[in-house]
Amino acid sequence: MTFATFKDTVEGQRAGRIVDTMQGVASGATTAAVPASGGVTTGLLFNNLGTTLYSTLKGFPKFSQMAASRDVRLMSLRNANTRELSGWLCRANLIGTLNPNATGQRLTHVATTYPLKRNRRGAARPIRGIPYILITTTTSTTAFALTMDYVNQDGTPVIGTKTYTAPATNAAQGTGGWLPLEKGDVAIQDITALNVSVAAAAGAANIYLMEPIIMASSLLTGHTTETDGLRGSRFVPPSVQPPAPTAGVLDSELVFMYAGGGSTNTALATIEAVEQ
Amino acid sequence: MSATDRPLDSLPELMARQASAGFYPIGWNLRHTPSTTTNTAAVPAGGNVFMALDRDRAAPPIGAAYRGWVVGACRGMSAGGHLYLMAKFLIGTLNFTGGAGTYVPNAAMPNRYHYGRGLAEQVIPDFSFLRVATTVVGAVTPTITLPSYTNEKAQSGRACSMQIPSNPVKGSVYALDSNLQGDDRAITDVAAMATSGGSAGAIEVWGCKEIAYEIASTSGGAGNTQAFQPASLNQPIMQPGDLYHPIKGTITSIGSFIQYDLVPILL
Repeated sequence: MTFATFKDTVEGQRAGRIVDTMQGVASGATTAAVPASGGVTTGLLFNNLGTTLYSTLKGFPKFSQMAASRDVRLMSLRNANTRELSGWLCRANLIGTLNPNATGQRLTHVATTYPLKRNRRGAARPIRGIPYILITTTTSTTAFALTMDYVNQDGTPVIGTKTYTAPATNAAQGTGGWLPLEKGDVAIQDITALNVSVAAAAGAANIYLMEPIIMASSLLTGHTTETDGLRGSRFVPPSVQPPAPTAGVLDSELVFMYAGGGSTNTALATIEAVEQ
Repeated sequence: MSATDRPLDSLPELMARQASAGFYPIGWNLRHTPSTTTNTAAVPAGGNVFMALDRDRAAPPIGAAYRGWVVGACRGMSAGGHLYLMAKFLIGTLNFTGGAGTYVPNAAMPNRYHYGRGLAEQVIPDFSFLRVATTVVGAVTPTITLPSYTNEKAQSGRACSMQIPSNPVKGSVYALDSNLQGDDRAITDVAAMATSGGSAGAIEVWGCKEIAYEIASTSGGAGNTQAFQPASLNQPIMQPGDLYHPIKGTITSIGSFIQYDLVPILL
């Protein structure tokens, strides 16, 4: 049953409700951004369950590996953090891994075939997202630099010219960053290459297509922020199940993406969703 | 939606109901017992770890003109973590007696009228918990198996299993939900249950419906945080004797306080 009215939503909650918690794991101190890394200090927050930072990363457990065919809508989100920050509930869709320890094309794309798709306006359409780098092994000696080749929001292949530089020679694991896009582009459907021009001596990173779902900022340290999926999303309660890959299996976790300080941070959250 | 009694829909309606029928305030000072023991953390294969507060509170008797109770508002205070008020239903108990243990079924999730709905329907849990009723002895990271449960779609013969920590202490709670078969969301009945080991102790299967929830969060200090929230509109109308139980999303024994107001629902 598609939710068309508030009454539909309340009735749907009886049988289709999903409540899930994140008892977060402390992120550890991350490295603050510099202008060459994009200027925004950012990171991802994960669930304690099943996570081994930064090799095995898990989000809300009930939404991990949920089938893309299910239509699950966010009703409400309550979250608290140990830091004041701007934040979003996001789908972290894994594109691949980066080894920045030599020059040249250093992205290993996962076997999953992109673009990812969701049903929008009556058809399965490619999704757009933020190109995100999450350092999973602390770098050393040199702040690596790279350019990104990608498929833009319109499905057009782009050879990138803008350089992302790691924020420090020893950028800590857990440090995130938004990879730069060419002028006129606003999002990606996929990344096809990461061309390292300056190599580090050590380090590794995950590369994601981040799909923001709803804002979940922490306005005051230690206090709870409530987000209403009915009104906070402006149009309809947003989907929280993963998108569907063109082919293969998608590694997709429901996590928090934040922009804020580099001090260690831990998320506490409960999400309420309803399956239509 | 049928034209049933809905006093929670607006503040004037709630005030009118409270003026005409009163409300039933319940306040608990809670501390997990035994207070000196930290609940056993979940192993990665299990669910997020929770903590039960070792105490049920039964919905009180109600007059013949009323169908039952709902919670109007809930306030909680705790030194950190998630704090839930749950409607709790006992589905069955696994007694650790050596070997696979002995399972004693209690009852499937009951039918109840739900707020704003005009017929009695099965209560579908938001959480399917394993709750340690008696500290387990002699079990090394046992695997708890449910070879036959019924899901939220009334499909029986479903199966799942979950590994839990060694010898979990009384009050430890583990969420089964991420380990259910396929896309199952909840357990509504359990026909069989077994353990891979353990000589003494007991674990209950609870079907819990979240009534109210808040995060009592601090910035890392030891201060208590008071939290307040309106109760969910998605509530079963509780009958006298039905049980409420607070659940915490931490594993450290800490003092908590919870208060909630029961509002009567007319037939």
